Amino acid sequence: MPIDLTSAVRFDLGRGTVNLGAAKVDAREIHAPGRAPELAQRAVLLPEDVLAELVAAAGPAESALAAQALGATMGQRLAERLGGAAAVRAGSLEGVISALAAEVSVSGFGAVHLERWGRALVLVVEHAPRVDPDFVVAMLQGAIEAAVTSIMTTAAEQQVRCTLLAVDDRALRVFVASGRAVERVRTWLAEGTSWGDALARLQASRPRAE
Amino acid sequence: VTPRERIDRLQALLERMLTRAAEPRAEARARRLLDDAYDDIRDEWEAEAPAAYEAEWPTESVPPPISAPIFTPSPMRFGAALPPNFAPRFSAAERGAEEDRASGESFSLEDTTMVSMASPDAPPTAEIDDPPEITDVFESRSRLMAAPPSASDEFGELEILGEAEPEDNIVAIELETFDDMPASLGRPITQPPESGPQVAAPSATPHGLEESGISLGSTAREPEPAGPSSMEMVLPSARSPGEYHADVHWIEAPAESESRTAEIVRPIIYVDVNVAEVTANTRAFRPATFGELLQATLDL
Repeated sequence: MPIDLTSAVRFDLGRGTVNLGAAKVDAREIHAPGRAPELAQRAVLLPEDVLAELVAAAGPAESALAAQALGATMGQRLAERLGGAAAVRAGSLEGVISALAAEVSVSGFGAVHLERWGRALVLVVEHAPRVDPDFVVAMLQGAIEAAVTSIMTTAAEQQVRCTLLAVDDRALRVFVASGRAVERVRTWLAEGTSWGDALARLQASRPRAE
Repeated sequence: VTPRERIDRLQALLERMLTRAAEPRAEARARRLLDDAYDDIRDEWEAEAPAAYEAEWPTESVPPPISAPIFTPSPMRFGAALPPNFAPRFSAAERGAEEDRASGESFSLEDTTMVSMASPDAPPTAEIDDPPEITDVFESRSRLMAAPPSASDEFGELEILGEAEPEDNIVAIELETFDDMPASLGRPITQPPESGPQVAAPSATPHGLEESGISLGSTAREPEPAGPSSMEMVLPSARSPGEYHADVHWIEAPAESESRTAEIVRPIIYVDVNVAEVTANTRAFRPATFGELLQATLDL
């Protein structure tokens, strides 16, 4: 399923505006009357160092909220393009991750890939901007939550949470799981467990299926 | 080809593998393989031609450290549920570039050592000019582990990658077991290499999965089975519940009288995985949809 990003970012130089959100899976829909304006969201371009300063100045809690809100707009556009939250859930891994990657990419937050470690879903972001990695983590959490929010239960155990597994010069690696699992992994990582071992440990301690 | 050149090539190969490995433990194990290979090659050369060895490789010289990047798995290469070249695709041009990145970094196996693992579906002999990509290795391993039951009833559906032991690495089995291997089952090759290696897989197999060979090293010609022999072992990282057992059916090691001249650093060992103790939820998890995977990760 090709992701056509034609007009995903539209510059109106006459009005001095930038709009996001016209990206469509099917190029024909991009030009469908009335569709693009519904999806379009005005945006501003911001140098990454300015964003980094804003994130640092805001503090962890506030920046996380902002990042989740930012991610939510991505998730909403993603769901819109794929046909709704139910369609996101029913979509193929490749289709959904491609759509998510498209949203993240056109926003300038890097290239997203998906890894599956057993049952663990891990997102990898390459070429992320030089901001606090937790900002990107929170953004992804917001995006996934928004993309699937209408079909996922609101029980605390089932809310989507993300945590940073590792970061290096090349990529951020983000674990997507429940709040409980995220807390366990964070604890293990703080104890010095490698993230690979933490994921293995999490699955090894998983209740056995009947 | 000097030992230094061989080692350089070996290091380059393993570094490449490290950058494309899909498991955290693969890095440590690959480093261990490289250390072993260093030792073997140096020992062989020193024993065969001490003067030349000393000239080529002074005693105080230390092999260069591996400078491969820290474990950096390729996207969606683990678990084999998706195509190995899976990646977000935005356009034909970019897709082509992505595929180039995924498969274009070919490396020559000529006169060097390789780690390979044939798949159950693979022809018995791997082609030296068609080296398996690291992704193929993991794909193959997954297929090995997930193979359907065979006539021996020793096999069952198993996805060792996806459940209790996602970090398990079959390659480690052969290497970590080899040192304790009874002499009758195999032995390391001590003859110095005289010609370039080839990659070989068994020409005959006991049954089923035995065509899945795991090899480090290579042989100058297709080897004859030294077995079949059988030796049960527990995977080094196996933990309860759901212990994994592997049976070594036979081990490739050229006979002493044969003039095998390749850079064999370890024999080829063929393993079967006995899944008798693997519990039901170690069955393969292959999410068909994003929702399935999301639910699975939320259930952890």
